[in-house]
Amino acid sequence: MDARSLEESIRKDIENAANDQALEEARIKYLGRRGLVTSLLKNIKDAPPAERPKLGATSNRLKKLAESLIEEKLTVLRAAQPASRFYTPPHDATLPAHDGLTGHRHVLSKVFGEIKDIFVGMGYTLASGPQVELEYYNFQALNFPDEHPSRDEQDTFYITDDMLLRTHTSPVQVRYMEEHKPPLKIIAAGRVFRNESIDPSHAAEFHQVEGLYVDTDVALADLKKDVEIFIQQLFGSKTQVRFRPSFFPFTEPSAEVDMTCFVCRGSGCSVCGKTGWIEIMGSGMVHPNVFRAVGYDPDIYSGFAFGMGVDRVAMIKYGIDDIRLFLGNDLRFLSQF
Amino acid sequence: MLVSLSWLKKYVHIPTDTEQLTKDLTMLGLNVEQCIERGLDIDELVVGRVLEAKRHPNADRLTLCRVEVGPGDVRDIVCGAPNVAAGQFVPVALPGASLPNGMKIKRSKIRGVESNGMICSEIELGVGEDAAGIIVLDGEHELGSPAGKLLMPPDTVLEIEVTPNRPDLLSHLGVAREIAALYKLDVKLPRLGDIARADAPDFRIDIADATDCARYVGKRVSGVRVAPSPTWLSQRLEAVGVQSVNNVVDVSNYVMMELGQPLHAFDFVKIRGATIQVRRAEPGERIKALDGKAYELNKEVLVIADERESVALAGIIGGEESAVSEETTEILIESANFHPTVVRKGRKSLGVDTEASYRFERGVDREMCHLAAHMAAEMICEIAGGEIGAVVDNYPTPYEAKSIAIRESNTRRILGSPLTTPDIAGLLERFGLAVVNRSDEVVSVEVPSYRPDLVEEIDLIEEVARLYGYDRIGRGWNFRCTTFARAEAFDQFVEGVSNHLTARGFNEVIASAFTDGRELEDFEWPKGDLRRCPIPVRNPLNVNHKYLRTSLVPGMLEIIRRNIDHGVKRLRIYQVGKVFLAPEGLTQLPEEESTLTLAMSLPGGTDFWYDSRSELELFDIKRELEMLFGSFRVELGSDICYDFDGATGRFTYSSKEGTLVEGGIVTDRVARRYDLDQPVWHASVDLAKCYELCTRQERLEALPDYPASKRDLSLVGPKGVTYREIEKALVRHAGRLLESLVVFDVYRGENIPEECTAYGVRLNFRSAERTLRDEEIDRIIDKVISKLKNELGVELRS
Ligand SMILES: [Zn+2]
Repeated sequence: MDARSLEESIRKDIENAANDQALEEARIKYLGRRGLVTSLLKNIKDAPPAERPKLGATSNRLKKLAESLIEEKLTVLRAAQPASRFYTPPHDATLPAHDGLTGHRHVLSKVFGEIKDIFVGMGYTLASGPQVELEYYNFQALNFPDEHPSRDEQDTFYITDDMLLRTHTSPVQVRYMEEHKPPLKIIAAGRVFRNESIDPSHAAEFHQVEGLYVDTDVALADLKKDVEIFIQQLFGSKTQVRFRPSFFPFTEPSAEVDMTCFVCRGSGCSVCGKTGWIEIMGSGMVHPNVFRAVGYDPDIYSGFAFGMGVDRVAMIKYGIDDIRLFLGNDLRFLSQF
Repeated sequence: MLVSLSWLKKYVHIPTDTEQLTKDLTMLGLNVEQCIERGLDIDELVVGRVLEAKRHPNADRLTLCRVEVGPGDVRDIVCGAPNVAAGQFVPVALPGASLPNGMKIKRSKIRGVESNGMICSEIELGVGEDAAGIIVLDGEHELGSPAGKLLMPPDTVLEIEVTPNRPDLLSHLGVAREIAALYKLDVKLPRLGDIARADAPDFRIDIADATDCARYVGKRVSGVRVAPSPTWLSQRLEAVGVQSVNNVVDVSNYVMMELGQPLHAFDFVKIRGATIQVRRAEPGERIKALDGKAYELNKEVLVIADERESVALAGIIGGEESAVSEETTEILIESANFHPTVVRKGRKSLGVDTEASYRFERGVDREMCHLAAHMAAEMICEIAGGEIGAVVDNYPTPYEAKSIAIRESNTRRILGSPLTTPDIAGLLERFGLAVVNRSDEVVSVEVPSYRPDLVEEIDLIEEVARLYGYDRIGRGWNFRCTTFARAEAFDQFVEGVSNHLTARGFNEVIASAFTDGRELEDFEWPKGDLRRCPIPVRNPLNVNHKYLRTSLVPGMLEIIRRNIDHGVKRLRIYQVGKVFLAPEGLTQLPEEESTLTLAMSLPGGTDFWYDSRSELELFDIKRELEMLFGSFRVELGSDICYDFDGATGRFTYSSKEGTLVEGGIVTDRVARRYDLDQPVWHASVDLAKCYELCTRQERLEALPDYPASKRDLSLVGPKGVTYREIEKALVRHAGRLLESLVVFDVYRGENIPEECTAYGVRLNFRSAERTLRDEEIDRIIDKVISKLKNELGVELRS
């Protein structure tokens, strides 16, 4: 075969190779150990010396040609052929694969989860109690006397004469202390109920987290430290915390806990009512009457309690201005968290 | 409680500016919610004197005045008020002044005559309600001097949040005491004239029950002239939110705001028999009160009565008939102490709430009665004329002074602050608590009558703490962690379930625990099902709060409907919440079951390109349940029954202990109620029962050493036999060598008998000890096939 027809044949065979296998066959045919181009090269030494340079140049040119054509063809074949037997290229890989319906935890669950994790890390155990509660646990045992104005702040849904929907999570404290001996360190969380008109900042149903620590020699100083650590964990280590005297029937001394406004950092803005402080929780030392109700000796044991609204914390944390959004369950709201 | 700083200054010196005072009071426990600046500060509002007043040449009703508004500065001003006259000192707004009502004063021509300012009325300046005439200033004043300060002196009013334990802070005197303690100052008590004048009384006071009424002081004032109050009095009351009525009523309110003692003034002439009786109301007794409303009384209500009938509701509100009116000249001042609970029950039963009842409910200082009555009498004489008459002080239950001891060691223990006995005594004395006894460890103090909140040692520890400063307590204190904790296993399970579902694309929702009960008819729960009788709420806020929910499903449907309204039509949601179940006639706390409800809903027709099916079906929700159970190793053993009702689409998983899962498709009847026109599948899981069924792998089971043998069977089940029945029998008879099985095909149609179903089942056999021989498996298969045939009529498909 002369050089020209050999070149034509190379070009044709490689061009016509429909797949890897055919291409490989073509490679063997020309470049294999007994391939046509290979034998051409081998035969140079048998040619007359005068023709050798020309023959050498031609053979080398054909070898290079065959190699580069195979390389090109291989790329073409790779592009046209699936990489896997189980694969067909999609018509348009940019199409979305998911309908956009992703799952999200409710923002209250998220916030509660954060709160819980912090407290568990500080040695608090989770406790719980019923939402339909006996009046005794909700009020009397917590040092709310009958017919006392302190009850006015907790408008109550009644079920029977002595059953009600708990107005706070504090009854869990009493139930837990009745069942356990100190030292104890618990948080209790859940739904609470107030019979009041609903508006952007008031709901008839909301959620609280309550903490209680009882041991010998627990002091107000311990309360301040625990609460400060918690708030700085939740809102950032630069947050300042202040305790100001207040009143709750079941704690004494009692304190309202404020933290520096995260919007203005304490200089005063509309979020904090220009005071630089945001009220975040109520707290105090467990009142001796509560200890007496559960049979603890207040001269031996002391303790602190604190409580906060999960809804309120979520509102503060995320700038939510309407408490009704939480139970409204608008997915356009829920899916933001 | 609104307190005026200028009023407070009557009792205590205030050594700081308002900003510092606000901070200090807040940190003492008197949370200042607001500071209101008062006063009339208007440029170009000056004192003028009317030199001449004559009729306007072109208008009968207008007066043309020449007014001197500064030494030698005389201007023509047109005035429309009927009471303007020469010689009066008046407030004049000069051109350039802007009035609180928005009016801007300009030089103008009124009916052809130039007017260079305006003589002002109360309403124009916002200092009163009188619009009929101009303000005429009492006395002589420097002409051209600012008139605003004369009309309304500058003042700052603090709004203080008073907690229910501190009734003493519902008065200026009480707040002054706290300020005195704060800055180590003394309270200046008012100086009063001879309090113990001994006129023979012309009336009697009978107290029926010394508990209901601990003390009743009646004091007479004769010959008064009832009239509007002087400006200073009405303004002072207005500053603290009390509306001016007349000079006598205003004085009684003034004394209440100052001393905290509610007072009432009777028109003495209207008290028949000159007898004051303090007694409970007779059932059916009626009274028309000062608020214009008629009240039907009951025996909870304590009344003041004359010899015929009730004339006032004790501690709550006066009666209209015996009230002070413009004709009144003879007055009886009531300054009494009524029992907190009696006043509270009474006013609640009548549905009224007044400044007086608010204070009595919280506890009023009974030692203050006489002083308050006397102060009021003196003020009335001074302002409304008249003369102080007789006083009757009926005091059946005198205040008994008590002392409380506070221990240094206990104070340190509770506060965690190294306070010493002298520190403690010093701090308490600043609050006006007299030290009656003192040792190295214990300080005893006497509790003043105005501090009903101080009952035991802890109350004193709190006083020490708040005056010492909460912010000073615990500085440098170290965090102690003496306990270790982890979440309870059940809580972890519920948390895990939530996270699993979220990852599966479900959105968590949290719904109200209440229901209006409308689901009762629609859901067709079986007779005897506790969900049919939800627990009613006694005092619901509205119809939505009528009952406690017995199922999460209705709330979820409501959520689905609302979201569809918003255009969100593809929904996968779940909720973990409590349902409340109890038999009717609740005698003990109801069962609160932790329930998980899933709901899935898609509108008809494909609306996402990648979904192969357009309608949701049973297996979509069932798959979610099975994945959940599988993931949490919930073992649905052979004692769990799965029931499915083809007609209604309802399914349950249940055991002897009750229902574990219940679900199905929302029926058309329910869908209509919730206005849903797309399918909703739902399932509710009893989480506690589900948790019980979770199996835990305690130790690793060795991975198999020997190969598995696989056999495919095509089993034809006759009509009425379910796959689950076949599977149960198959598992039972195949024995322990059967490792797993899977249904790879379900077929109905040609080549098999009508109404029968062919199931392609792949069985995996394996032994942990050896390689299984084919003959061994064949024997098992033969046995299984013959058992299935005998027990269920299942045939092997040829
Ligand atoms: Zn701010």
